[in-house]
Amino acid sequence: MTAVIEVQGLHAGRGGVPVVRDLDLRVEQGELVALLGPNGAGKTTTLLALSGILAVLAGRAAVLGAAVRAGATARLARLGLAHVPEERCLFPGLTVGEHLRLAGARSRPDRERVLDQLPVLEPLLERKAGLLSGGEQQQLALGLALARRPRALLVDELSHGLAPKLVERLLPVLGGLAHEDGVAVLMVEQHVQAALGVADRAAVLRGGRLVLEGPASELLERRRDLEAAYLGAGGS
Amino acid sequence: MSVLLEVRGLTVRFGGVVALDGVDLDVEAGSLVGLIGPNGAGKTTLIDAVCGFVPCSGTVALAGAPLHALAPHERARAGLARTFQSLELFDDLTVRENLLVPAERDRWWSIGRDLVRPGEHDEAGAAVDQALVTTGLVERGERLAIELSSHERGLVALARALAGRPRVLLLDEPGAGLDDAARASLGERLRVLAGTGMGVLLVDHDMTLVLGTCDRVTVLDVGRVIAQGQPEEVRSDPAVVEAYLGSATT
Amino acid sequence: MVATYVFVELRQHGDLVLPGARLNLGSSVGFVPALALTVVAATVVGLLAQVLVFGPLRAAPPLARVVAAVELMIALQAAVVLGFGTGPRAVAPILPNQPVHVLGATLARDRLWLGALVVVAAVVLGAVYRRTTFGLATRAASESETGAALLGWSPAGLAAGNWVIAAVLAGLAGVLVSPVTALDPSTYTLLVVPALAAALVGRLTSFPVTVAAGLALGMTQSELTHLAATFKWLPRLGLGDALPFVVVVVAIAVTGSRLPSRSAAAQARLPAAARPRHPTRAALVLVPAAAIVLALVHGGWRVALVTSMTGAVVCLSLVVLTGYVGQLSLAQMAFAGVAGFTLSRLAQGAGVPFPLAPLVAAVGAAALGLLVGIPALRVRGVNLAVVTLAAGVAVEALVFRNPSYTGGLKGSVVPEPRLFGLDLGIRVRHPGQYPRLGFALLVLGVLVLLALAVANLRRSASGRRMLAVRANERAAAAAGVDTGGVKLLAFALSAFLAGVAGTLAGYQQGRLSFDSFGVFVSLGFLAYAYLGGIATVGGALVGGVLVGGGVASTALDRWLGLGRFHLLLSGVGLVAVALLVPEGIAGAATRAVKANSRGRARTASVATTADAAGTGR
Ligand SMILES: Nc1ncnc2c1ncn2[C@@H]1O[C@H](COP(=O)(O)OP(=O)(O)OP(=O)(O)O)[C@@H](O)[C@H]1O
Ligand SMILES: [Mg+2]
Repeated sequence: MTAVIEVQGLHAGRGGVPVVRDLDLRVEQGELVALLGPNGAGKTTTLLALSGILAVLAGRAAVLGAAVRAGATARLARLGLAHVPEERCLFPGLTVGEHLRLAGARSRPDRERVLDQLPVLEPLLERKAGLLSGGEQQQLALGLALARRPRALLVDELSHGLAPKLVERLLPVLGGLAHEDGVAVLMVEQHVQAALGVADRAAVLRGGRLVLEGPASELLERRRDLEAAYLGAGGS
Repeated sequence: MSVLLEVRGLTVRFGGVVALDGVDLDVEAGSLVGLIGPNGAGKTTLIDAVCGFVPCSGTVALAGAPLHALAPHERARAGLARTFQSLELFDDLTVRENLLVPAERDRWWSIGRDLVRPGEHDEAGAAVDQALVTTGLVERGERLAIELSSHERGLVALARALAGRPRVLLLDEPGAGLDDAARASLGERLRVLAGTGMGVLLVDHDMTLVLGTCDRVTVLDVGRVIAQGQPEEVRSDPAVVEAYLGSATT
Repeated sequence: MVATYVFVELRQHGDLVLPGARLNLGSSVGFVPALALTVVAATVVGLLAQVLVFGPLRAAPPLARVVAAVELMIALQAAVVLGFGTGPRAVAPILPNQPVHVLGATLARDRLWLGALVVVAAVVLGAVYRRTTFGLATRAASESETGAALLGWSPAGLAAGNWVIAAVLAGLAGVLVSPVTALDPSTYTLLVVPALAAALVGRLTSFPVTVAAGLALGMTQSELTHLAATFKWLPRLGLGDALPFVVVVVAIAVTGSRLPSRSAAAQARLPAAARPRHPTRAALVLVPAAAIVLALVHGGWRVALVTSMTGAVVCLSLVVLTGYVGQLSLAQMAFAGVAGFTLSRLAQGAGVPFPLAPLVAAVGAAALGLLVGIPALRVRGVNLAVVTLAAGVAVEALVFRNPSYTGGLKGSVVPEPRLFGLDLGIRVRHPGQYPRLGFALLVLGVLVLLALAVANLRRSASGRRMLAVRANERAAAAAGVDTGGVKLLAFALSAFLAGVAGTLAGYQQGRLSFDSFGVFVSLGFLAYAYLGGIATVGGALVGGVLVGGGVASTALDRWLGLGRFHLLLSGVGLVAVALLVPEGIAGAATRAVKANSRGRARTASVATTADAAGTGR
C-alpha cells in the first residue's frame, strides 16, 4: 500500500531558491510523524510545499494519491488534506461560528464534535476571529482542521502561543486523530520532548536536509544523537 | 529599587467582555517581571492598555508620571516600548530602517531639513547599532524585514523595541517559534538588559524561559491576578497549576 | 470583503453599465430579447474582466487592482466613445412612468419602480452574502485567499461567480436607469461617486444601509437641484454633486477610529519604495542631458516634453502620498486646479509677481490638502480613495464649475511668468518658435528641485516615518510615530506638489479651463504613476512620460498614428505592467540591472536563508 503522504527527493522553496533539498518522507494512514529541527531547518517550507502553497522545485510529492504542485491547494483540500499553517490564515472579519461553518461543520453534531475537543471556542462563537487572543486563534485554526474531518493533516507548531496545560491536552488529540480515526498526521514541533511523547516516528531536518529519522521511542532514548542532529556534526 | 511602571486597578471592557478586572502590577527598574496565564486571560490586553491602544480605566504611571492622557506614540516617546504577539514589523523597510524609526525622535517640522539634507542622526544611529549587537542581527541590517525567517523576525521585533532606548520594555511572547537554543540565549539577553536598569515585562508560555529568568511572576486568569511572587512560589501554587501549568512542568 | 465590494461597485455603476446599456440601445429589438442580450453581454464582459484582468491580478497588491479597475473603466469608456460617440442619447421608457401622487408630491411612477427594484435586489444580495456558504466563502477569500484555499474553496472560482453576479446587476441597473438619466458615457461613469458614497456609509458591508443611504442621497440631490433653482443665494450648480462628500465625511467622523483595531486585516501591500542611493549624482547626469534634448527638439515634441515634465510633478505628488505613506488619493487634480486658478487670480487679478504668485498658490493647495487629509486620520485604504474621490468631485462641482471663480467656458487667464525682466513664458511673438525654450527650462528646473526633494525625503527620518505608517500603523504608533501628523504632513506636501504642477499647467496653457482638473484626470494620473512606479522618484519620471499629451502618446500619434487609442492602450498597458512587474516600469528596470550584477552574491546567501521562505508570506 502506498503512504498517504509520500515525498521523494523533494526540493522546495520560494522564488526558485530551494530551502529544502532532496527530502524523502512517508506518512502512512493512522500514523503520527513529528518533523523536528532547529530554527531555519525548512520544516515550514516542507509543509507549505505539501499543501501546494509553495512550489515543488524538483522531486516528487503526493498526498492522498494526488501529485502535489503549486496552486493545487484547494483541490488537495477537497481531497481530504487539512493544514494548520504557521500563520494560521484565519479570516479576521468572520466570526468563530462562521469559520466553523466554512470548514464544513454545518450541522449541530458536527459543531459539537469540534467544541468537545476545544471547549474554549464555545463562548466565542459570535466573536470575530481578529479579536481573539493569540492562543484562541491557534485553537480556532486547529478547530478548522478538525471540522473538516481530514484524511491527511499537516500541523505547523501546534504549541505556538498555547498555554502549557493546553499543549499537554491537545498534542494527544493529534495522536487520537491518527490512531483512532486513521488520519495521516505530519506535525512540526519545537517542543521536542512533548512531540516525541505522542509521535510514532520522527524526522529531524537541519539546513534543509534530513539528518535523522526513526521511531519516536527510540529517539527519546538517543538524546545524544538528537542533540547532535540539532547542532550539526561539527557543532556549527 | 524604584518602581518604574505602576499599574493600579486596570480594567478593560470590550462590550460585554471584561478582559481585565482591577489588575495591579509593578515593574521596578532593573527587574524582569513575568506575566503568565491561560489563553485569553488578558495578558496582551494589559500591554495594549498600558501602551494606550485600548481604552481602559484605572491608572498607569511611568516613573511616577500618569500616562492616561497620552496617545500611544506619546507614551512610546515617554519611554515605553512594546512588541506585538504577531510581530507587526515594517515589512518593506530594511532591518536597520525598522530600528531607526523608533530611534529618531524628531517632530514634523524637521521635514524642512529632511527634504534638503537627509540621513541618519548620529545619536539614533548609535542606538540602532547597539540594538543590532544586542540581538545578534548586525549582519542582517540591510536585509528587508520580510525576507527574514520567522525566528529572525522575532529578534527584529525585539531590536526595534530596544532601539528607542526605552525605560520599560513590554514583550508579548518573544519566545514563540524559537528552538531551545534560541530561547536560552533570549533569556540571557533579557537578563543583561535588566542589568542595565531597564524594567522588563515578559509575557510568554515557555515556562523554562519565564520561571528560569524572571525575578517575579504575576499570574492572570480571566482578567484577574490569581498569584504573584517568586518563580518558585508560583510554580507550586495549586491554583496556578490547576489553571495554567498542568502536570508537565511540576 | 471590502475590496471585493469596491471593485464590484466600481463595475456595477461604472463601466459595465456601458456595454449593458449600449446593447439595449443599439438595436431596435424588443425589450425582452434586448434585456436578455444585455444580461448575457454583461456576463461575458464580467467574466472576461475576471479571466483576463482580475484573475491574474489576484496576487498583485490591492492598489494594482484598484488602478486596474480604474483603467478598465477608462478603457471601456474610451471604447464606448470610439464606438458610439460622446453625445447623450435619450432612451425610451422601460418602466411605466405615469405620474403618481405621494404625500402631496408628484412622482413619476418609474422612479418608484426603480426604488422598489433596488430594495428587492439589496435584500436578496444581502441574504446571499450573509446566509449562504457561497457568500461566506466570498467574504473569507477576500480576507485570506490562502486560508480559503486551505479550506477547499478555490479563490478563482469564487471570484468568477461574483463577477457574474456583479456584471448582471450592473447591466440591469444600467438599462433600467437609462431612461431616467440621459445616456452619456461620462455621466454614467460619474454615477460611481454617489454610489460609492452610499456604499461607504454602509461601511461596504451592509447592503440595506447602503441602499437606504443611496436612496436618501439620490432624493436629496434632486431636492437640492430644485432648491438651488428656487433660492437665488444658493450656488446654482454643484450642490448636488458636492453632497456625497459631505455625507461621506459625516459618516466617517461617526464611525472611524484613529488606529486600526487588532482585528484589522493585514494592510495593503504596495510596491517597494527603493531607497535612491545617489540622487544628486543622477541629477547631475540627467539634467544637462534633458536640457540639451529640450534645446534640440521643437514644436510638438517640446510641448510633449513639457507636458511630461508637468505630469511627472503630479506623479511625484502621488509618490509622496501613495507611494510613501500608502494613502490613496483621487483628488490630486483638485489640488492642482485650485492652485492654477488661484495663480490666475493672484497674477492676473492682483498683480502678484512671478515666483511669489505660484508659490502662494501651491501653499493654498497644500492647505486644501490638509483639509482633505483630515478624514484620512480615521479612514484607510480603499475607503479613503472613495473619500478623496468625493472630495475631488465636490471641489470640481463647487469651485471649478462655478464661472465666477474660473471664468466659465472662457477660462481663466494666466499671465506669462517673468523674473528680473527675463521672459520665462511659453508664448512668443513669432508663431514658429512656440514653445519657447526658456519656459521648458523653467519647468525642468522645477521638476529637478522637486524630484531631488522627494528623493531626499525617502532617505530621511521623515521618510522612514512615512513608510512605517504605510507598513503598519499600530506598530508605527508603538514606535513613537505620530501617525495622524505624518498623514497630514503627507497630504499637505503632496497637495503642494500637485499645486506646483497646476501652476505650471497654468503657465503652459495660458488660459485655464476647469476640464483639465476633473476627477477623471486624477484617476488617469493615478494609473500613470502606478504604471511608472508609484513608490519611487524614477517611477514618477516614467509616469510623466506616459501621461496623455506627453512623450509616449505623442510618439504613438506621430509614429504609429494611434493617438486616438491612447486611453485604450494605456489601460491594456497597465494590466500588462501590473501582471509582469508589480513594482512598476522604473522598478523593474532597476531590478534587471541589479540582477545582472548580483547574480553571484545571491547564490552565496541561500544557505543562510533556510526557513526564510517558510514564513508563509
Ligand atoms: N476588541 C475586543 N472585543 C472583544 N473581545 C476582545 C477584544 N480584544 C480582546 N478580546 C478578548 O479578550 C480576552 C483577552 O485577550 P488577550 O489577547 O489579552 O489574551 P492573552 O492573555 O494575551 O491570551 P494569549 O495567551 O492567547 O495571547 C480574549 O478572550 C479576547 O477574545
Ligand atoms: Mg496574547
